[in-house]
Amino acid sequence: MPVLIKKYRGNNYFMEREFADKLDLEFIPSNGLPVFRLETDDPAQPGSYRAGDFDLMISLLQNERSQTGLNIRDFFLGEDRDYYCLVIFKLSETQSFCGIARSEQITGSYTYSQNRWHVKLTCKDILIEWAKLCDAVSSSLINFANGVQLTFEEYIIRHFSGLTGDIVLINFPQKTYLERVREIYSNIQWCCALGDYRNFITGKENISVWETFKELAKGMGFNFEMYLNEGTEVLNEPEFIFNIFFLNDLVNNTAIEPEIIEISESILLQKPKWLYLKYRSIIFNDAEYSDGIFFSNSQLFESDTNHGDGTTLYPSLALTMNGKSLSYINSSGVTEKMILRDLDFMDMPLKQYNYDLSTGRPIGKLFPLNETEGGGMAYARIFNCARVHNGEADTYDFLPVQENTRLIYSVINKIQNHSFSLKIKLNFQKRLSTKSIFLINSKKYIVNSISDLNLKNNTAEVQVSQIN
Amino acid sequence: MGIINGYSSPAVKIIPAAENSPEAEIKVELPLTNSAGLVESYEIKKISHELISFGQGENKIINAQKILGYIITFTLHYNKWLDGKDLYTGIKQIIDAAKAGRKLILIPRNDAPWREFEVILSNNTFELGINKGGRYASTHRLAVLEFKSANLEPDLKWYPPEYAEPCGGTGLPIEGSP
Repeated sequence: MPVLIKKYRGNNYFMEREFADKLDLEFIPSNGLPVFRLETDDPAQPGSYRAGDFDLMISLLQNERSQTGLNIRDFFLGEDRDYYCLVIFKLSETQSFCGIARSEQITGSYTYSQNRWHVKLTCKDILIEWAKLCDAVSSSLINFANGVQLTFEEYIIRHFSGLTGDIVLINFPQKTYLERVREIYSNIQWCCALGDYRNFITGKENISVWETFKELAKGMGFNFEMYLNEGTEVLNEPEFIFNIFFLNDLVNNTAIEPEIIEISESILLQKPKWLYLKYRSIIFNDAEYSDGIFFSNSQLFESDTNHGDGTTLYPSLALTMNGKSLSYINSSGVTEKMILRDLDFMDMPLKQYNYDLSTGRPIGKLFPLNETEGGGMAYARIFNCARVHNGEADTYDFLPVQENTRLIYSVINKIQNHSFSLKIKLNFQKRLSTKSIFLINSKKYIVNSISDLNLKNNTAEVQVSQIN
Repeated sequence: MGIINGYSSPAVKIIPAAENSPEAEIKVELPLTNSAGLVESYEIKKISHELISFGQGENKIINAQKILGYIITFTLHYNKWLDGKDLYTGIKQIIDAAKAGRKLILIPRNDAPWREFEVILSNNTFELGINKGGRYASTHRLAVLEFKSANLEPDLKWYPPEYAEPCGGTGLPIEGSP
């Protein structure tokens, strides 16, 4: 059954769904996908998460009837106009695309002189529906008290607690986050989100769950996608998998070898060589000092302001000239490296949240305490690792987190500024998604977007970038 | 055996533009056409969609269509000869009425008056010549009149042979007969 459409009353599939009817379509017009566009973040702008949409046309000449006996026109454009549809477009046992079409995104066209006699649905990627729900819920509702420590996996589940209902399954990579950072520093005892650190952030009631999740994703370098839990499409309330993944895992996975029909190449905007991630900033008169990391393919400079004495500032990363110049100043106060914004470096736009350290709780290394001129903390900074280094036990070590993030973004930074547009034959045995890895002539490519799905010829157009 | 829809000459009713118009309805009787005849062409108006089913790499294609009706073109061939009187009192009157925006009702065969169509004059050009020029010229030539149904006709309006008037007929126009 290629297309399954479920009709609900309510506002959001993940929050409010009253099943009303369903329509299973054996056929759709061969030109029934005039628009098909699934995108992930722009290769030139990491962290610019995108989703996509597709238009689905259904011919009014089709004879299928809904579960309640309505014909196609009455199902979509009958008297009931207050509904939304979950559209599951199932290409194979392993490949499906899902979207939500609200009643106002459904139109009928009866211009027979132009051979139009159809209903058209504009379906927004299911991830957008999930994001809408999470964007309407305040981060202050996340139950994360002072003194509580949660692993990465535990924290993500806690982050979405109360929102997933019975229909969102959060999926994690096989390798835990702790195992990842232990590959960098084997002596890490634990790596956890700390309730105290999260609770330093002020104004959480005005920051959505979705925003803090995206900030966490950017800061920790993981990615996410949402897709149908295959097999549940037959239920009145299908389940979805919210998949958390790390790009460097995909690169190491077995790649898809596509059957290429057409290929063209273009050059992307040249990216600066360095990427800068700012996890905490302190604004003084002379500069904006920060904990963070900046790195190229061959070098890295980082600071964790591991200064428990509350008075030592260096080593630190310093932004001067209104943020145009970025320097690494070592523990002796000597500038070791200086690079310029846009020419040499771009930054991962990590939001710096206001924070208040007057809670009296242990605060570890957040030096200094009097950031009266501004500053902030990236959401990912709520994670800390415990390990012994330089002969001292440290329970607020952030270096492993930012170095692990660096490993992931190194993959993006290695993506060349070439973009290839491919027309490929659809392979129904392997799931195609944005961020799929292709192997072409022994080189690996990452899929940035999928467009123009042609059902008649079983082809799709994809845009890929080569990974070094 | 037999023909359908009648066999005799065509006629056109000219209906006044407005219902309360003082003008009267006029029926213009045209002569039988020449040997090329009165030809009805049926444009079948339909919606046609190619539908596809897919899965496991196997696509199944079917065609679905819905016939909405017919646009009928009536071509009246007077290309070999046409009497000047018929031309002036008949065809000119129709052309004038069409230009004036009157409604035209075509009865393709006057012996089957139950079969009529609202039409528009669909000629883009109209040619006219005379046969055997000079003072002994007696008839015109080249005239071809073309009407198209004004509405999408839901039915062809075909009637069985010998419908209503059991006179039958050969179906062939009588060349040159009045």
